[in-house]
Amino acid sequence: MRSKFTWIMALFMVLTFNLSFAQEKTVTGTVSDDAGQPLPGVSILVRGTNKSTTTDFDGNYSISVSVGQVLEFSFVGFTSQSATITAASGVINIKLEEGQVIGVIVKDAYRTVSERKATFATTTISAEAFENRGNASIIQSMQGQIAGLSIGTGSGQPGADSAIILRGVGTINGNFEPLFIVDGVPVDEDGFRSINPNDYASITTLKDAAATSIYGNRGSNGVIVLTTKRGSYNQDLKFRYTSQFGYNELQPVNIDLMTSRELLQFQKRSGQGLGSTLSDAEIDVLSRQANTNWSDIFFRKGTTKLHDLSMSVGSANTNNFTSFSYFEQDGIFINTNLKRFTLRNNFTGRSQDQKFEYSLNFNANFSRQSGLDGAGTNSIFFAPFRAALQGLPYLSPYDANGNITRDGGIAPGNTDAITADNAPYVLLNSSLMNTDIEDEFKLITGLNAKYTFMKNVTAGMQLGLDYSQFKALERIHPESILGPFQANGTNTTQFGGLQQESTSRDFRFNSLFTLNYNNTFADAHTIDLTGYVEYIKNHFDSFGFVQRGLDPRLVGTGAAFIDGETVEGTLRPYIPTVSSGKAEEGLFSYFANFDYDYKGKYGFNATVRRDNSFRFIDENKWATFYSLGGRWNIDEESFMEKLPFVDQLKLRASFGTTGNQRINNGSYSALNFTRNLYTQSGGYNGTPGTVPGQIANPDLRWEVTEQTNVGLDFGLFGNRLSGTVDVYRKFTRDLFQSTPISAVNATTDIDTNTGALENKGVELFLKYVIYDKNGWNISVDANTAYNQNRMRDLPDSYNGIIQPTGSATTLEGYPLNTFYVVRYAGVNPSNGNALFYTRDGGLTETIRDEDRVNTGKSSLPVWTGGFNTRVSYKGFEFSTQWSYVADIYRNNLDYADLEETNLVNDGTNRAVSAGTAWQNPGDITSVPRVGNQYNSVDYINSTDRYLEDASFLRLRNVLLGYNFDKKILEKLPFSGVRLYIQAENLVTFTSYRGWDAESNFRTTDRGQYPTPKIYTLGAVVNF
Amino acid sequence: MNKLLKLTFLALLISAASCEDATDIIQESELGENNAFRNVDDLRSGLIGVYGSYNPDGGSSTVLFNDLFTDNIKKGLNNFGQGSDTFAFNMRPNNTFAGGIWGSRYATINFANRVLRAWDRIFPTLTNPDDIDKANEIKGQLLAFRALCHFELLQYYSPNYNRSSQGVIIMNFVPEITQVFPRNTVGEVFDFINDDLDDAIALIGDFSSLPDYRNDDTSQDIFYLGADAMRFLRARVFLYEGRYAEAETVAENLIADYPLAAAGAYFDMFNADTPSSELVFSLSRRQDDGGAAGLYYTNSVDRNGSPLYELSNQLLNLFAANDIRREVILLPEGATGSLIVGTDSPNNILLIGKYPGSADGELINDFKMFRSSELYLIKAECEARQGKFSEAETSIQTLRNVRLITGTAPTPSYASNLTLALVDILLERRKELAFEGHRYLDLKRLGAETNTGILRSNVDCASFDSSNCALLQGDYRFTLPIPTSELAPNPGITQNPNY
Repeated sequence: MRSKFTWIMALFMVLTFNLSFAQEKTVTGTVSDDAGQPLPGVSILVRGTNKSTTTDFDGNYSISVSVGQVLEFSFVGFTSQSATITAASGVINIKLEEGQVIGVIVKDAYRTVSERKATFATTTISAEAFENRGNASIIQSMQGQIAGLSIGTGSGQPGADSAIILRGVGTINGNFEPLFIVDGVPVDEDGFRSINPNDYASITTLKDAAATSIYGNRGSNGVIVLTTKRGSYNQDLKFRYTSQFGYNELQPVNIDLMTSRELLQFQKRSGQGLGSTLSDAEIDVLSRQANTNWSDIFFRKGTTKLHDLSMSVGSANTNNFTSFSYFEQDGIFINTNLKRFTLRNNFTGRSQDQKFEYSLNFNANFSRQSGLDGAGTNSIFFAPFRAALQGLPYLSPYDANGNITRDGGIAPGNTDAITADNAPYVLLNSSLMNTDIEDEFKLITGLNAKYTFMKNVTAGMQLGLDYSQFKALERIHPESILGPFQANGTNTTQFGGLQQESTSRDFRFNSLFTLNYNNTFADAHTIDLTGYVEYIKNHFDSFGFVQRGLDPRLVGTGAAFIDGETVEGTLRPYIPTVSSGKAEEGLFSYFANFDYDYKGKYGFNATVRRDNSFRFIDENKWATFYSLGGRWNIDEESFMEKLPFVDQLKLRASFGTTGNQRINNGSYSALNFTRNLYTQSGGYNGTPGTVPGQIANPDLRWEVTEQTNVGLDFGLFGNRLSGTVDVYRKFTRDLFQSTPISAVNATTDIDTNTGALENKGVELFLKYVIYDKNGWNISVDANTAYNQNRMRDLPDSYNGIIQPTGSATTLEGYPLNTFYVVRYAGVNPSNGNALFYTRDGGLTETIRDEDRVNTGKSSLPVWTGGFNTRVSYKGFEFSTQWSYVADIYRNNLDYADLEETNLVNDGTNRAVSAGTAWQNPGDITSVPRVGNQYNSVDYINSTDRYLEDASFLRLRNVLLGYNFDKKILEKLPFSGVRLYIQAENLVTFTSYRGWDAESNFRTTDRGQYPTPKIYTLGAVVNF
Repeated sequence: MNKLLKLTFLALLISAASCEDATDIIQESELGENNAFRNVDDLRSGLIGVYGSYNPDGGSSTVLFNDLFTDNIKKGLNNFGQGSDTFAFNMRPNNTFAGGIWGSRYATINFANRVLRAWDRIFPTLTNPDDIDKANEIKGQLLAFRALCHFELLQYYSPNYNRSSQGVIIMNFVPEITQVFPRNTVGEVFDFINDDLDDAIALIGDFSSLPDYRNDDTSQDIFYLGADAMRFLRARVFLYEGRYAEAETVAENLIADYPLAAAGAYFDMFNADTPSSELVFSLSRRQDDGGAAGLYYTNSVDRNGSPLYELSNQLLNLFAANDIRREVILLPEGATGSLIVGTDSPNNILLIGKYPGSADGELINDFKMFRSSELYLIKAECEARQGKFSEAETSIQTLRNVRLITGTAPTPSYASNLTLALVDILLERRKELAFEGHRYLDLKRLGAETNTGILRSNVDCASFDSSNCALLQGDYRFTLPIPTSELAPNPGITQNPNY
């Protein structure tokens, strides 16, 4: 070790004093495709350095280089090209040919390297894959595009957060989502609703240890690097205006609900509910009067609007990119909405001699989300989506004037009328009268500077800030149906209503200092060595209150608040509650990266990192993570000349470790688990006491993931067929999970680092250019990923299984969230009771825990992927993007509720299939008799009766676009005009019964907000 | 040279990003031990926390278990299987009561030891005599709680009370989470309890009254472990240890200060939480606390309040019509009250009325921990065991008489036969202390000598569809198993026989 270090140092010293200044010059040019269309976002890298730039909207670039250096031009989906700089080089125009994927620049927060030379497993998608989509969140647009990245959106609320899993879940209680980096600044992985997707130029997903280990303390779940658009040097002022308008609507539901007549007759037959009290004639009258599909009332056609203007300009030594956007999307559920305003300015400047360069990225965003709480809740008067699905069809949604009713004739606070069957009226009233607004102000800003103060030696600095301010307002209007109950839970107080407000601020700061040495020896050996020091500090504070009792005349501000001192009888029902919180987090690290390249043929990369997390103490505080990666660009070998059809062939292998210190999921949690803490509670006889609130675990440490990856990148037949294959194994040990301890510690379990999880998988990406002649270009690409998740080691005392409290649990040797339930055997033909299999295959009418079996089914997906097709002819283009998930299961409580026959008169509608319930001895059916032993929740929690395959194939996006020909535009003041029409989620194939097969990998669905179909029409104008 | 300067500057810049404020973070909301306990008032707050943690009337604890496992309970109107496993004598290491009693008592012990550790730190710094007195009073109560919890653990988890038998783990300090301990012997645990009680009584000393911590209201004394409550506990311990003469003396002395409540006062004590002369120690239960009635009812103490458990017919049949205890234990008949169709009718709805709720809440009543009637029963047993049968007869008759609304009870006759006396005392214990956490322990302790096990009447047994109606005296299930939660992390612990 010592000798190696001395060698590197000696090299360093020699070169420091062997200074020679090459002639630097600025090269400019335009990059276009075959058809002459300018290509924006093309990466241009000076070979052997980390100096790079990208082309602007019109394909223009400008970069300073020395004579003799080589520029590499690369862009997703095109063959890379290179150009050597000569003394005469001034303008270099490049035409890129379509047809290959390799050659993109991989740029993360710390390193820049051409993909040919990368030892990493990464996938990059560029702007065209996600910009101008109808989704509010950029994350949703990434679904199905990156092999190994599973994105699940569990809510149709515009801007809803998605669950993101890369290469399987590697933690039980900790954060499982990748680290997100925007222009070098680490940002909150849950905060993408306020961000304008059109500002982004590319998204790179870092998968293997060689790529992620340099993020050591945060890289265990992978890293997603987002890069925003920039201006170029020496560029004229350019404008680009994008406008979109469209509609959103509910996806069709594949459940047959009963009509009024069917339901009333079913009730009559069952002897329960309204139908049982009516004659056939009365049923006939009632079902003619009303046959309401409540989802028609609660859901609507929403609109989407986008205006986005960006400007870029560059002089010899400065360039700038500015964008504003306004986005508004109405949710498909009434009263849900997202409005967003964003502002970005990316400025870059450099010194005359170009040795010093700096940039400031400033991004300010504001979004307001109007929503509805209660997705998934059990409390029927607060569950809007359940009411939409389960509302009784024989209730009329109209008032006497024929308008949609606001209250169904129910007076506020009328306990007699607030019954289960009236839930749709209550929810309709609540969604019209009550308020639930969440405002977010988000500022992401970064300052980068680098200075080549010696030949081959560059010092860099980066300061980043992710600031989110959040304000939530929830109000239950005192004159709404539920309003009068809000003061103390009864309707006996003079004033009702509730107003709850909370504000939080989240300030995340990071700084990074780097020192880089880069040189090439004998035109063959390129060395790149970088040292880093990183500091991260996060601050959070919050404040909130709940006021109970509002004056209905003044609802809005504090003017309406009833004084807390007000006495009614002997009570003071209006005393507000207040809360205040504060938390901090911090990390400190130093690390180094070493890259070696031999003639572009062989490469080696190593990283080592020392990390300190505030969460741990003593010897566990510091941890070391490292990675080793190598590549062999086989296509550079002379023997490959015998295989002329092979254009690209690269073999990669890597091994390394990463750590997860966010051992509890969620931000600002597990802040002090190493310390014994006390709380003020545990009172007695009206006096508060002091009791232990937390028993310390001083041995707490990092969850450590080891990952091995082998990959192959290839391009064949003139790069018409290209692709990537990766095989990996991730092994996470020291999982943070509950472990039994002796009761003498005042608790019988504590979270400790124990156990291991394994993820093994294969990822494949293929692209094939089917036809590329005469102005036509037809191509398809597909990606698929298989991931096997296995719990490898539970604390011994669990005997291989954590006893389930619900349907899914953790079993040694099986995936997390494996369903461990009693098998449903159908209906006993003799008495109509539900039958279940005992563990040994017998039949029983009783659900017993000891009959639970391992179904081998999990709520986490095994197969994920997608495929795209693209056809272009001259200015026209037509593309489709499909995504799929397979081998994923979910409990369908929505359907269980609709097929519930334990009770029929519970005030909700039924699916048509409930009508097949057992009636007479000998009936063969799968629905037990009315009044059978178990209700819907029993079946969900303990049996597989409603455990459904939630696999789906979805047409995520379909787009038809037209780019006006340059010749037509010549006479117009535009340099480019593009029109398009597109749709999101147009078609879904699934056997899952519900509005939406997609979810955020939850185990049970009940009354969730379905994701919509979105149709938009857009125009992009460059001038 | 210029380059070197630049490099130096850079190095300075990097080192300026000092790391301590990112890596050594104490959150503002943290309350560490030294800050939690700074002075006598904080120690008192810790003591209050110990009181708050002690909940024999809570969910998986002793009060419900004693009657559910034995013969005082039948299934309630709105019971959907709750407790049926325990009722059916399915006692296994994963039983909720076996885990609950073990866990909660050791938690209280742990809480007390933490305050005692802080006490040792703070006491030497005290100079004000008043503070020193207060500190001693606090320590006395902490030690008494520690003794009480160890005693209860011993009662449930020791197969018997012979000094050499397996007892429970003695905890007189705060352990580390990785530490595990084997069981001490019964003798060691008894000695430890007695030492703690000696110290506690000495420390509480001449504090004849324990002012309420909020407003010096002496009427609240009853809610705190004073010297008399400690002596009461000592009488129980002596009885279990077989030190009958000492138990008798302690009981006799206390009885003088805590005369039995007359019928009316007895009724009010349970029905309205009215203080009564026979109450030595009661656990205060106020608004938002958990209450004993919540063990038997889901919503409220009436027929529509979702009763989970009811009085067994067998227990009801033991009471004479003029016994005030019958009026207390059974909610009055009525449309939303009890319903007696006939003796041992399966349609009887026998609602438990001992904890009828209070102004603090529908399910909330103070829990009467120590009543002097128990002292009479201890005294009678000790007298009988020492051959003083006529004194024992008198003690029992005194208690019986005062519980009658009218008339007097016949004088019991034990004819110098200890078994006869113990059978009668066991019967009286059942009637007097039902739903107060005694029945299981009494059957365990006296079962062999009286040849009494559990024998439920058919109608009570059938209420739970149970075929398990009897458990012979001396059955291994009269000792609780060491729970799974302790067996798993503690390889050094010994399980009780037959589990």
